[in-house]
Amino acid sequence: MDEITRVKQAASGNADAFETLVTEYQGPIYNLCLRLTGSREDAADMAQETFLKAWNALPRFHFDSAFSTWLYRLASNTCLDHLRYQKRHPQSSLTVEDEDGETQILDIADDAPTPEESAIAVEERERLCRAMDALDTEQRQILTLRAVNGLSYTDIADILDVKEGTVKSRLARARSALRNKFEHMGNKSALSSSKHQKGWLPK
Amino acid sequence: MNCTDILPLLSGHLDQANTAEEERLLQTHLARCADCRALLQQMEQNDALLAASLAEPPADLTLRIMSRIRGKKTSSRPGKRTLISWLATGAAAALLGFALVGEKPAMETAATGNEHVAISEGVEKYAADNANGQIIFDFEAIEETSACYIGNTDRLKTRHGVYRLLPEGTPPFLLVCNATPDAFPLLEGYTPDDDNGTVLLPKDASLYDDLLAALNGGLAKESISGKAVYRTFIVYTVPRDVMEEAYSLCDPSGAFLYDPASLYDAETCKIVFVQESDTLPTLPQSVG
Repeated sequence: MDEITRVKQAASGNADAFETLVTEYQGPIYNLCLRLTGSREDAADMAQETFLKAWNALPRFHFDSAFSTWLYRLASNTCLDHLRYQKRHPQSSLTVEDEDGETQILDIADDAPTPEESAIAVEERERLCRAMDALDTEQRQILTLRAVNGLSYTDIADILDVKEGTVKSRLARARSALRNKFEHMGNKSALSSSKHQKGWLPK
Repeated sequence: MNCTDILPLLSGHLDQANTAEEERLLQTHLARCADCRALLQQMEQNDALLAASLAEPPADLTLRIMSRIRGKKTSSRPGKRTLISWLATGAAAALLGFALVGEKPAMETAATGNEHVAISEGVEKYAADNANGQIIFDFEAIEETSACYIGNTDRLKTRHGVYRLLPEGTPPFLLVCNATPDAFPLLEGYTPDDDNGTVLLPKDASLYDDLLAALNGGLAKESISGKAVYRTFIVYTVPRDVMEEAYSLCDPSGAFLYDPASLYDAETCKIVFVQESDTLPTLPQSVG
């Protein structure tokens, strides 16, 4: 059954039809939430919230955009709201300072590495995750939509409500910023490991 | 082209979004710039790492969602998280309600008179100073509000009923800000909060502070240049029932941000629209 039919059925209250949409989209939506919130637990909550909102709002969804675009926008807004709320009401932080005053990220937003992954690949990936977490929310959002969710400029423009030219320029800035953060993380970890090595030297 | 100019083309190259001409310029630059070659390689690698970092959602996610939808209580959420999630959702709903500005009714009643005067004077001052390119207005008038809702009027006109819903004679308070694109990059980077193409700026958001600072700082005194962009802030104060009706008419496809609970106990609400034009905006009819 095609997606439009299933969306229409779900809009008229058919939970089974909606479940097929949840099954289909939970992966990309969860990953979007994961990159935006930086925490697995929050990502699951936000993904759940997104689908619950979608279920309630579906009767008023009129295919002004593709269902997927609408859903991504919903997820994106849900996460941004959550992040704003967290900022205003800090209850638990994503980061914590270690004894050196360095900011450490508590929750690396990745699943456990698979055995076949090399240690270097895992390290690189974690470094990139930290670099992502250090970006502005907007930069993280647009990079995720493009590089993680693989959406087109057209879809991203629709989700963010900007022109495609703006998507292009924002992506360029975000990629550049990510690269800078990534480099910075590399320097920090190199510094920090040399610091730890010194601790092992005989005094 | 220098390295700064080439940046968008590096990114465009990764997305195959460059025109043939842009690609030619890029390749010419790359051929003689090792830094940009390295940058492109790193960007490419980062993209690949991001694409490879897909995580599996929790195995019971669909079940949890569908349990809620089918009306069963989910048992897998720890109480604390549920509470936090609930609080977050409630706060988000409260923050993002279309009414945007929940004001303390008593303060509103007391402040309204002064507010009219302040803004009217600002507009008059604007008109008077127009000749020498000075624009002065009083943004303090909306500073008392808990949040500032900024939307694109044209979109609201064409896509939603809210703008049209504003009753005839609703006094539009025009706050004019003359901003060159360079002087006013703040709004360009905003993220719309919902399908209206609007952005909500909670008072403690950095953007809100930046906006206020820009407006109260040098920005309002920017000289009008030949290529100025005029951003007109139109502030409407409407009674609560208007906002409630607006809620019911709004297409909520962006999310359900139209919960009357977000009006708090406000009796009046304030909406701020932004209009952009490259010519001087028309001043409003007499205010108040």
